[in-house]
Amino acid sequence: MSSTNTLMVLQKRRRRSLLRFLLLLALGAGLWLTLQYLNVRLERFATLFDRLGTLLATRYYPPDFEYIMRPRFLQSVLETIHMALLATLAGLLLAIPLAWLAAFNASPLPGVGKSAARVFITGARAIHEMIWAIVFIMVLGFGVLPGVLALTLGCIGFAGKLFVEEIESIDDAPVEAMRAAGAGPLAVFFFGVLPQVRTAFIGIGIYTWDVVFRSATVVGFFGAGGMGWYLRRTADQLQSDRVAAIILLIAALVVVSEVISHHARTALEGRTGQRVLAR
Amino acid sequence: MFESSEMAQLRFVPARHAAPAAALAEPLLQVENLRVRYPGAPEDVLRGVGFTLAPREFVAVIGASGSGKSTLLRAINRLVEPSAGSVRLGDIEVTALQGGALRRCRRRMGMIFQEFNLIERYRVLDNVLLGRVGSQQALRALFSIYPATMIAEAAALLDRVGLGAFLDQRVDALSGGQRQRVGICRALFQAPELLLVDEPTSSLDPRIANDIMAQIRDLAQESGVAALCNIHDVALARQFASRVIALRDGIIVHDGPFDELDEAALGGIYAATDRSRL
Amino acid sequence: MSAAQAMPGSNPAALARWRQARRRGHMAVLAVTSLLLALSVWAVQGSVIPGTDWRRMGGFAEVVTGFGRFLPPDPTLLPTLFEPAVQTILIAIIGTLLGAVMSLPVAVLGAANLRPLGMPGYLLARGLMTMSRSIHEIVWALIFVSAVGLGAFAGILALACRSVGFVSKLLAEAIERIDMRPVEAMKAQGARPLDMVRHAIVPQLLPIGLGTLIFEWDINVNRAAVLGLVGAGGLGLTFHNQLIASNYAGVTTVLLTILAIILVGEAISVRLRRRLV
Repeated sequence: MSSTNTLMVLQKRRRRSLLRFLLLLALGAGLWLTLQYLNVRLERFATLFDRLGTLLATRYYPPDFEYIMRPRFLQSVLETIHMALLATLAGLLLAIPLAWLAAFNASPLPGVGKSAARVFITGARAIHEMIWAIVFIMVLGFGVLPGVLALTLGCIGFAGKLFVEEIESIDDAPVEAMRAAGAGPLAVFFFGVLPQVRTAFIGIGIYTWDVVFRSATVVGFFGAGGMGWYLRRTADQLQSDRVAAIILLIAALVVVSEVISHHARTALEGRTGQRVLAR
Repeated sequence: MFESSEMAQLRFVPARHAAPAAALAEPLLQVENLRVRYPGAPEDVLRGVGFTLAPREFVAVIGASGSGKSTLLRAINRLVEPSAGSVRLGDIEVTALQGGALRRCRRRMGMIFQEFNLIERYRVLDNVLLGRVGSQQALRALFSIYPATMIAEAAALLDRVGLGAFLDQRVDALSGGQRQRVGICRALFQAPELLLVDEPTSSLDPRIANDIMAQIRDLAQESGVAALCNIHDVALARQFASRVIALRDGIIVHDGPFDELDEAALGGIYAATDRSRL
Repeated sequence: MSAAQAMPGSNPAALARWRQARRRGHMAVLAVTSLLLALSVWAVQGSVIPGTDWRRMGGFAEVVTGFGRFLPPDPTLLPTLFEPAVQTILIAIIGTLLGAVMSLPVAVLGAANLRPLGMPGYLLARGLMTMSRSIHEIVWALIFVSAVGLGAFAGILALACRSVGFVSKLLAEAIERIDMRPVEAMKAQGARPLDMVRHAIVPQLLPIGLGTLIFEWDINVNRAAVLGLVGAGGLGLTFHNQLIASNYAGVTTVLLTILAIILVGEAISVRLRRRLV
């Protein structure tokens, strides 16, 4: 018994390592072909850091901090914050009922409603919020409203998926108990589902704010309001020192926002004793 | 099991241990005045330990937890750096070795761990083969390429401990006892002269502790390997070892046959709660 | 003890505490709601009303017809979308791979239990992780377009830089969680340092690393579709062309194509990650 076993194992091992070798070879060849196809020349890599260095040193440095202190620019920063705020609130408010509809274990309309909500959330997430912004601009013209709408969709896509996952992982017993007691779907949601996911939802909401705010800083790039427009204009006019200042400001704002939301999340964790979000 | 004649050659035959009779007189391992202090600790864990181990000898090390058993084993193969003293394996001073020389010396000592310390995602056979990875050519080792005879040898060894049918399974699919058997095979596959065995049954179901201990002793004797075996359980030590070294607070308080230990001596070695296990 | 507390069957003090806690809960909800409401009003008045081109938008009916122009999608465009779609997917793959390569040193430097270069290296790595995530892919693309010119290369570099943060953060966490017992075992048997890394550490990190990469690739397809708008080619460029030509039906076709790719990619990603465990 053991001799055939050993021989078989030997053969299997040999086949496995051959397969692994072929797979590596194919991957390498595929990589090389792809680089050829995309017209990426690896020798440019060698000079990349050199060029990037001189570029940053001569054109982006020193950043024109005076530019970002101008009142008109500061106004756009405030506009960015406004947009992120509205989009996060609206998006979260819409995402909760959508997630309820889309969750397989709690949906009040398990047929068409569930599929429609799933398609909506997936679609909102699959298309980048910048593309949504352009679509809205095509109909509504330049301005803040298309930006807010695009960010709202982005927020629904992002938070909606997490909400659905959260609802789908709840303990079904309280829900079933309420259904058995004859509660309507709305009552089941508010008293059976929501109490179980409330803390997680707040955590996800705070996390979503980070994501939406990050997008809001650039969503105006194609004219959807906020500071993104200034980024576009200075970049188009090759005013790299101003671009540098704007990028640094964006990074600083995002970091500040992340620090605040991190503290909010830890405070929430401390109060409720629950782990709020894995990431 | 090995009826077919070609496979008979694949039976695990320890090549290196056909030690000449004269060597028996010389100790395999000589430990002198070994001291270990962990960085930042106020006191030594080992406070001057000394003993010798003859080739093929099977010695149990007993003592309460915290007595320094584990540290002693780890100081012998320098997983823990001794702060003073000497460890000699054959005629090599282990404490003086560095880099490649230390690695070559470690290959002569196999280690069996309390928690098996296997590569969970590797198959059983690959774990055993890793026992000799250090003596493989660097490039071959990188791609886990081993000669067919070596693979057959590892398979035979696994057969010997009853894991022949499992050698193609991933370790994380095995039970604790099976894992420890893989660990035993890995250590023996190194073809060592000395086995350092660190509480091999403490993470296992007590019912299979006897089997595992018997397997370690039998395999060690069969392949002519000396073994230094930490055992917390005094009953197991009595059953398997003719010579017992007892540690207490980093000092050897007994070295000799188990029978010379009386109740009072054991009471000194173990705390009251441990004595109930006798 | 007061007489009220001695009453059998009820505990007025506890009841009062319960009422108070309930009231406090209601007050908190009310306060948060009104705060959020006030913030919204402030935002609408401060930015949305003055910042939107209401005249260009016209009435409700015009908006509806405006959106109506996107339908139905234009299927004749589909054959021309194949190549840009392939480009977008490939840019995402190469960008993710490059990001993975760049993540390795960052993760090693930023793993709290290793810190090979001490505190400065650790802080540098953590800073790079934050930088990578806080700068939007469009901004990364802008920087690289100005450095290497238009084309896929700029997009790949942008995606790589954008991915480093997430990938290296998860990788650093995986490094921090490495089980050192197999490493100890290999050290005890005299294995070379390279063998220890290859056989005791890599098998622990590889599944997590690959899972993260597949997840990140999925997101990068989405990002790659946008980078075409700033000159990195692929579907974004097609989208841009349809936009300039005011071909609304074509825009819808491109959007649906992106959606289809993402859905397929997600299905593949989920399946691959499940197999990795």
